[in-house]
Amino acid sequence: MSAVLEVQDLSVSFRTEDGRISAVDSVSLEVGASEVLAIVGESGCGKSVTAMSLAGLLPRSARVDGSVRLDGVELIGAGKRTLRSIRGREIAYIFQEPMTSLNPVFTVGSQIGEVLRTHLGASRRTARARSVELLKLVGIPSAERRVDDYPHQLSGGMRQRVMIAMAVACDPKVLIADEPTTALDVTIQAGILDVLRGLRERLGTSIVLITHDLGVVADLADRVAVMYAGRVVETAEVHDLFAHPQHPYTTGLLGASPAAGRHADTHRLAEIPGLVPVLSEQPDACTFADRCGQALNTCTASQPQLTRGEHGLACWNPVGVS
Amino acid sequence: MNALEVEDLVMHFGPVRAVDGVTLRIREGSVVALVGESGSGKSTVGRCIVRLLEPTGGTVRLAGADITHLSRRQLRPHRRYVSIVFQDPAGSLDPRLSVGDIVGEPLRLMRRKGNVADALRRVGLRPEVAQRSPHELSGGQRQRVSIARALISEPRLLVADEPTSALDVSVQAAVLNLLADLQRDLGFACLFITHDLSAVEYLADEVAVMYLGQLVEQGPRARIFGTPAHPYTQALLSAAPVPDPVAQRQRKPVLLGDDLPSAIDPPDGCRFHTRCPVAVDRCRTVVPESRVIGSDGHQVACHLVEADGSGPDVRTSEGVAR
Repeated sequence: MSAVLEVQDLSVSFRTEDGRISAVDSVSLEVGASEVLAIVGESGCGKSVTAMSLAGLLPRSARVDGSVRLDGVELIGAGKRTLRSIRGREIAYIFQEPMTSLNPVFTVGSQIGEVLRTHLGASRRTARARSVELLKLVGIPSAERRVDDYPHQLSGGMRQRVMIAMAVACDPKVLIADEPTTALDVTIQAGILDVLRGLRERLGTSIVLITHDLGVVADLADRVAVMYAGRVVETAEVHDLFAHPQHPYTTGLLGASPAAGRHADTHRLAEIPGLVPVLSEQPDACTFADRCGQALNTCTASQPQLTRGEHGLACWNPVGVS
Repeated sequence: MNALEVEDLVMHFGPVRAVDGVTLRIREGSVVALVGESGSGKSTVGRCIVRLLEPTGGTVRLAGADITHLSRRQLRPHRRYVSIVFQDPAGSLDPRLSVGDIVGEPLRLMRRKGNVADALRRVGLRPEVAQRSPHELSGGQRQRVSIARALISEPRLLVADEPTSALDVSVQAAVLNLLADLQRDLGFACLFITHDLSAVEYLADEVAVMYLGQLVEQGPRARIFGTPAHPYTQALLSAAPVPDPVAQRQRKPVLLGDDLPSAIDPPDGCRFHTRCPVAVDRCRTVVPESRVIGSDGHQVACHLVEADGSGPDVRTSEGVAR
């Protein structure tokens, strides 16, 4: 399978008042055509920064190194014009909070239409007709009427559907969904996950799904990359990852989520002691070592590299291997 | 003896009917989860119980004493029986006080004796933390401080309002374990307010489900998760994704539509009828009374559920009787 999006040795660091902070360290990822890659991890693991850096959305205080290729075209270091023509057209984003991403003083139809007129040079009339189609595609009932609504007239779930309609307006190759359902209730979330699944099936859109929710991963992802402290520590096909997790952090995450039918009388949730480190520079060691129950001397002395292949792993002492 | 009795509780904010007739009991030493989505009124119920709000109507009895309309002064002797832990530990801890002062404050206000160091130890913090400021602590540590403060007066009822929702999953696990341990060891009753169904299954003895200001179903945990009777409960359970790709991909969430009615102008009849897949005419006009449908205290407010508990299951495609 040829990759639509290829990320190689992506590193991101930020200049702050307290000096440089490393957010992403040598991350390599591949996303195939109509594939859903989930990037999972807890706050501060670098998953959102990774997503933002793909199309150059980071502020100037960020230093980005490495390579991001979309259909062979290099995006890191690309000029403003190139990026502008790619963003929204070839790579589109949806974010957690749809209300802050929509302009409150324009109707949803004019906001979707703007994307079409800017990128595809559509006329007002075509843009409007296409907006209605897009609203239908994302499951908004009475789309002909809803196209003239302002964002405040829509519920949170509807707004997120509008965001998705805007994102896929130009039929992008890659959709980056950064915690798309985190702000929504579960009954609404189920509908949004369904829309994303439909896009992949009907339009063949590749999706990079950023989330902390393992239930959402289990629902939608084809492959998963687990991030910890700026590095990908494990990556595998979704069933393989849940059935045979090998990194102690992955097993820790899976064991920490309460499972169906488990009550505290008879079960205990796995805890991961300690805190995620804030790193000024990436050490030549496993960054999880000081929280890991099975760390060896090697783990603090040398950095494990992510192995290549179907099930990639960056660990000196994997789970289930003695 | 019940730790808490809430009878026909009503809380209106101007035109907003946030809580509209909630009746709920919590036995000494048991954990009741109050479940619902945003806007269901579950947090408002919690705030009425600890009398951060004075209810518009109904009664709240703590360990037998009616506190519904007591003045601040009159409330004082009852304060020690109930404590609350909030979702956001950063916002509920005074940044100008030391951790020791925060945890010891209830003792000072109640003119009681107690040991701050012991209280900190009990929640897994070192007594030295007493000298620190809240901002020096991590999110998980701060939530432990809130719990220590809540428990130092040895309350008979703890209201925990989304205590783990702002925390990462690994930290969440530690706080859930801690709450389970403390509840078992100290024997306080707990109203666990949350939208996280997996946490409910882990902690609760009983579950009460809220929709738009009213309880639609309540009963023992195994009942609610095993054979939920109300269409909303069924939909809610079916929509929450489970962290297991094999199981999750066999599930079919019941999609309810995104348009949640407003609490300003709630629907007539059953408030859920606008989103209910099996609603009939009666549901649109007649308010369903809550009825007991089992010997174990299982109650449901739905016209379509028979006295023996049989009724529609919206999770099966036709919505036929189970």
